[in-house]
Amino acid sequence: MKVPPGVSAKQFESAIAAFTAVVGAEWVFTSDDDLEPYRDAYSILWGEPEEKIASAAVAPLNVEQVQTVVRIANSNRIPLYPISTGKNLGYGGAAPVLSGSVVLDLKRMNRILEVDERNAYAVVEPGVTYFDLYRYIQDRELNLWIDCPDPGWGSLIGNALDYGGGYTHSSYRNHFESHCGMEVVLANGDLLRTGMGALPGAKTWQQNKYGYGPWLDGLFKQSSLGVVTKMGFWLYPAPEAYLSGIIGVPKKADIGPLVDVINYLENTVTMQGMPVFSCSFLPLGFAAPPPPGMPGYDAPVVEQEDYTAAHSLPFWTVTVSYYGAAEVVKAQWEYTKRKASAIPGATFSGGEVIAMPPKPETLKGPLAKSPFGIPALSIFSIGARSEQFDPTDGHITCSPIIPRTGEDIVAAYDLIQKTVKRLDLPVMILTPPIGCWARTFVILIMMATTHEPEKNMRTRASFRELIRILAEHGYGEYRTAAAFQDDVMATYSFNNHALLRFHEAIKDAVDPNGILSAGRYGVWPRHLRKVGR
Amino acid sequence: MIMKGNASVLKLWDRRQAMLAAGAAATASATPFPCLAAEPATPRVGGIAVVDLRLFESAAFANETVRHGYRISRIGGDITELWVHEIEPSWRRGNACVAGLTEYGAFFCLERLGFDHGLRVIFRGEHRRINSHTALHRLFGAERTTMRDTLLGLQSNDWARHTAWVAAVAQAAPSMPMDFEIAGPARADQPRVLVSWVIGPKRAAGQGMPI
Repeated sequence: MKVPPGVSAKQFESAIAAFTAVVGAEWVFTSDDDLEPYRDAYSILWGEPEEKIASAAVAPLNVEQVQTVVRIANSNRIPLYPISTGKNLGYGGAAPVLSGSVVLDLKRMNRILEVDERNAYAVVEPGVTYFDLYRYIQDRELNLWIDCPDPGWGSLIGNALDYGGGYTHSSYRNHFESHCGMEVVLANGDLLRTGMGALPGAKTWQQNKYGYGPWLDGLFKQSSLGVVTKMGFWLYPAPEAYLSGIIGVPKKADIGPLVDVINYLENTVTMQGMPVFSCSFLPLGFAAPPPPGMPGYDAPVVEQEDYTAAHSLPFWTVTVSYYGAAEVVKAQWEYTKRKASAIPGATFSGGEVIAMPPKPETLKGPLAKSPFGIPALSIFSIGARSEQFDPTDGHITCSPIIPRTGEDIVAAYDLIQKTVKRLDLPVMILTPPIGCWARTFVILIMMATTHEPEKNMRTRASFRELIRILAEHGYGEYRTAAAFQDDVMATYSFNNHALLRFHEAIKDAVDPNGILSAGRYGVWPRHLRKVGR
Repeated sequence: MIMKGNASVLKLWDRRQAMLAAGAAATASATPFPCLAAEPATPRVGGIAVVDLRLFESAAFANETVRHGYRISRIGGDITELWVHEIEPSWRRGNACVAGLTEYGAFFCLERLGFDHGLRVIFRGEHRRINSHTALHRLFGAERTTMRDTLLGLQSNDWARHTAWVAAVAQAAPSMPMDFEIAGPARADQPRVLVSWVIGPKRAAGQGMPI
């Protein structure tokens, strides 16, 4: 049996016995076979001594069991690593950051506690997946939408706490920002409710985020300070119609004014759907050569613009979308065309109004369901585990946040392209700038992981260099795999790492024994600060 | 937006082709494994067989599973609808076995979702095409399948159907002690990597499998 670091075998056995008494033998896992699901299937450390492996897993059924398990862990100094459903693939999966931790698996806590149609919110436990909530709403014919990532098999709470994003209306795509109210088990087993939830009998826990006094919810995002056992989420009252159109512009320099128009539309809520930018010379990844005769991304601009002119192609496109009443979305599309017509040579296509709910033919194909808040798994038929990529073992993702300007799009892709080539990184997919959150873009640079340690070692070294270079240019990552969480935290270094020092001060205060999620997002408890990193 | 790449990368089988493949296999089922000296025993184990209608090998595999008590469910690469309407409700009710010969993505999803329901992969085969006419098969499964029969079957053009039989035997006695690799024929347009698999309740070796 693997034992957590710094814990004796006897102490660990005693803790396991105590966990078993709380949740039942069926829900305590210690064998290699039972712990296999808690490995990170995409691990960049696969099969190496440093691979992050759990020593055990415990799956409580309710909040009271979570509190008791946490108290046992606290008194025995057993490191716990809470997960909701462990589907955080590409960013660590179900594996703990500190190898040897006991995974606190919350998947059995899968109750949808409340869905209020009139005020459009839901309260769920950590084991509730997007599929679960979608089914619940459909079965009851509630006039509500969810916003979900693709794949939609993960937990609402897990995705929100890791700062995940979705595809529908801008008010709901940021999953952390669209939550309202939390219940949290602290490291000493105490139970906290945030916002209005602190008022016994509160009638507005899921309607007012801030309650009274400092707002604490942010402390539990990407955090090691507590175990979130309930969260409220604002849901989207089902819109009547949807409209999507495409704007094309002919010149490379047009990306500046194009992004400015989109920003204006979005920041005035004239356009609510996710803007999806694309460039004729920026196909997925670098591995695939451009079609014969087509200049590459790094070809001279004159050649590229000659090519697009000769083939009647736009240089850039952006797909825009709108939700609401048919007459409103039509007017918003017309207004968008008027604003974007200021860019010489701008073209427009699409613009068909689709009445909701969408017909089955609208929902066919990868990512087709996401704009309608319908969970899917179709991404796996085109992603890391699909036929298109070799090897197929998995991927890690470098996810820099980029300003919402056309100039930064060009600068960031130039930098990424140059750096990826120089470091010979195994890039599988380089996404267009993704506008799932307001005010910034995120670019996903997805790199292959393998089961070959030597290849992974090279990738790790280059990945670290990429993180450093992007940060040097002002592009910080918002999320990363466990193997790089210290590296990313190290880049947030203003004033001699004041942010990390403050995180550590809070960690020491609320989890003095350092039992919760040691090392998560680069924050280590005091006793592991040197050895953990 | 992430788009599917060059469509020619995925050699698509239309429904008619897949059904023809399955039909051809069904016609041959009177003598299921002509490469073998004697027909092997046919364990009836039961469950849901996933057939990817785009894949010749998937259809052949699924067709063979019918002889072992499976009912067939169809996908076209994406398992979302199958998951929502069949497998998830089935796993919620109990612990039905699910088997298939698919691309890696479909297997990977169901493996992970199976973990959430306390299920395990009780048989897995990887069939990697290494050139235009050869596949390398690597199987992990129960030792009740005799090595001789398994080797002969995988060296035949009917390897996908044979793999279904091996999977059924493995399902009847799940213990995963077998692990070997062998080369056999492949069609030129066979996807680069296919996976055959059975996902079901974990059981100690020899305990058999609930249907």
